[in-house]
Amino acid sequence: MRTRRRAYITGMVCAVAAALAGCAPSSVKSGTDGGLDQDERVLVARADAAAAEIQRKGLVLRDAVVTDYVRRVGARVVPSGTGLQFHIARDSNVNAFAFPNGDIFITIGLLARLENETQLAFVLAHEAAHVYAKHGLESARRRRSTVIAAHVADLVLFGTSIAYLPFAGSLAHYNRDQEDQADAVALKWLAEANYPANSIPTIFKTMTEREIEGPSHASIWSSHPTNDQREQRITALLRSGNLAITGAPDEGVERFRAVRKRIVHANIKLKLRHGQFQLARRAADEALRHDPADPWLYYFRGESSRRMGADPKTAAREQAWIQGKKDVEQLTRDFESRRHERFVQARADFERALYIDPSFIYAKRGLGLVAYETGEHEQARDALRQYLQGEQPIRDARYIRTLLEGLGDE
Amino acid sequence: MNKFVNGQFSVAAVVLCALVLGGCAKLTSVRQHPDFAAHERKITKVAILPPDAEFVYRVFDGDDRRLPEKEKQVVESLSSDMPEFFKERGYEVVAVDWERHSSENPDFAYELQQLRMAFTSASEELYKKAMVSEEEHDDFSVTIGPVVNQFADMAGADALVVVRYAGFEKSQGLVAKEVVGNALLAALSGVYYQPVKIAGAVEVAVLDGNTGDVLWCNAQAGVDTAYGIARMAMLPLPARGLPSPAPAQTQVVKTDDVNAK
Repeated sequence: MRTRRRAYITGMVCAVAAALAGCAPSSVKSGTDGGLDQDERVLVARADAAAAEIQRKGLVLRDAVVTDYVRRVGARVVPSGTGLQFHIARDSNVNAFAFPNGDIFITIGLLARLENETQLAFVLAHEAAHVYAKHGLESARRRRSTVIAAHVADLVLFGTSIAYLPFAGSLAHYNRDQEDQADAVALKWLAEANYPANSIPTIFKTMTEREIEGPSHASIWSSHPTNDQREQRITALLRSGNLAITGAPDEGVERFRAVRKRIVHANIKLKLRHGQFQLARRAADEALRHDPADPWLYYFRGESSRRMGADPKTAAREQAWIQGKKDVEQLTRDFESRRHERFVQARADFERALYIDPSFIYAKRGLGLVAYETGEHEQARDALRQYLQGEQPIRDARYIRTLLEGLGDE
Repeated sequence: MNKFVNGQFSVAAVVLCALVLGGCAKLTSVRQHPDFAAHERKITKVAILPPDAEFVYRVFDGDDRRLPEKEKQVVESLSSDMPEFFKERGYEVVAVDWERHSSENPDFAYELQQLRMAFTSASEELYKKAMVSEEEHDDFSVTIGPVVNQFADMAGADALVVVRYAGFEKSQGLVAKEVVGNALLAALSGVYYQPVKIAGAVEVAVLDGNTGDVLWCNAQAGVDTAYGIARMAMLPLPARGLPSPAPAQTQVVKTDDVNAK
């Protein structure tokens, strides 16, 4: 009896939900007299507030050289790009997002993964296309109608709100059709700006940090088609002959690399800070291809190995994300069993950094911390004392002194 | 993003859920370092970091919005109240002009954000289980690392306090929807839960200024003001010079699954 009543309620509620969803407005209305309509005004105000909060929290890169460069590329590729403001976000995740008010953010994580100016131009054009097509407004309205339906539908779920979508703070959340549209518009603008767009299909493989396909919560690709699908679609567009692709080599490669070099260190440091040890190592390895004599890059590699050895739980969580695995406990045991190997790798990289630059005190820090982890107290004390005696201001001096006290150092 | 809804600030949502769901146990939301007493002896001064607050007005059609004025009020309230709460527990609180440091250091806001993010990550580890038994509450050894050092240096303090608030208020339409939903639930389960129109949660943590170890933290949810909720959150903190109180905030809660998130 109870089961029949539940089934009846379920059926009725689903029917109501379907009807409500069908009633929602589905087209974007252009404002009266060319101005913004009420929905747009609200959305733009929220976008302004969100962008201001990102600024207030210091999450926008303040490097004028990098910012000017990105803005110049944006101005070149986006026709009549007024009303748009490009920013670089201090975020090591591979991401770019556009707010409906014209604020467009590209993360240093993404910038570090791109290979040339054409790919940067594509990303900026793609995001700008979302703004021009008012995808944000369309999404907000569609989401609202879906959410009303979900409200009704989740009566079946008895208030557990599993069907409830994230609230409208997701100002830059688009569906697959919108993403495909933005790709097509971006390619067109690239061709019109004389960028050699034939390198674009490879961008999707370049940018992915995960070894599995599918939505990623932290990625702009969370609502996108899969990378393979996008690559195929863009390749088809390029082959269609409808776009005048120059095919000339990207003359901005050296310019791009000089700018990218400025954010490489910041990107890797952030990854290490946020427990992305393997991704940090990959980024360091990639950067070493262009700059094999940079002691910092060897230091970062060493840090990634040291942290994997010292914090197997966090390393396991990262591994689980990269590979789409769920058994974090097993992965943790795997990392724990390889601690010694990690510390050996770390030591080798720190010593390499010192070989390149004997005055590079951060390598002393790394060697000291490895020795601390492996119980080699004398070596730890020596190395950490040398680190503290360096000329640069030592931001973690308190931390290091606490370790030295624990080692019996007065 | 409202942490209640999106679950990033999972602590608040977890504690609130644990407080309202069914089942019986003596549990606590407090987390304490196993060597708390040894750390506490070395603390002469604490500094309260600028509080963080998010407040969302939730509506039926899902078009929720932040309320910046309300957030500002909460931050002001917590900024003035938290030092008093710590003084009541016997701590010497350093008055820090964080605005001056912010104006002198262009990276201040960014570094503070990094510290908060590191704490969020630590908090997820600490609150894998919303509530733990009284016996388990002082067995948590989690650190956010040396990111704390520069703030401890600025303040001249041995320990730093992180305070954050997440709250919501629901529209009449949303409350009405929940009344209907809860009535359906009651028809099947025999238990009716009164919808909550306005609620908040406060998380307070004491961090070692040298190592970044989380020495003590607690999350308290309720329908009171930020002041009231923060006061409740602070009650279980051992007062200096006195023996620890009966383990933490003993909550007799009805919960079917203390691991629910």
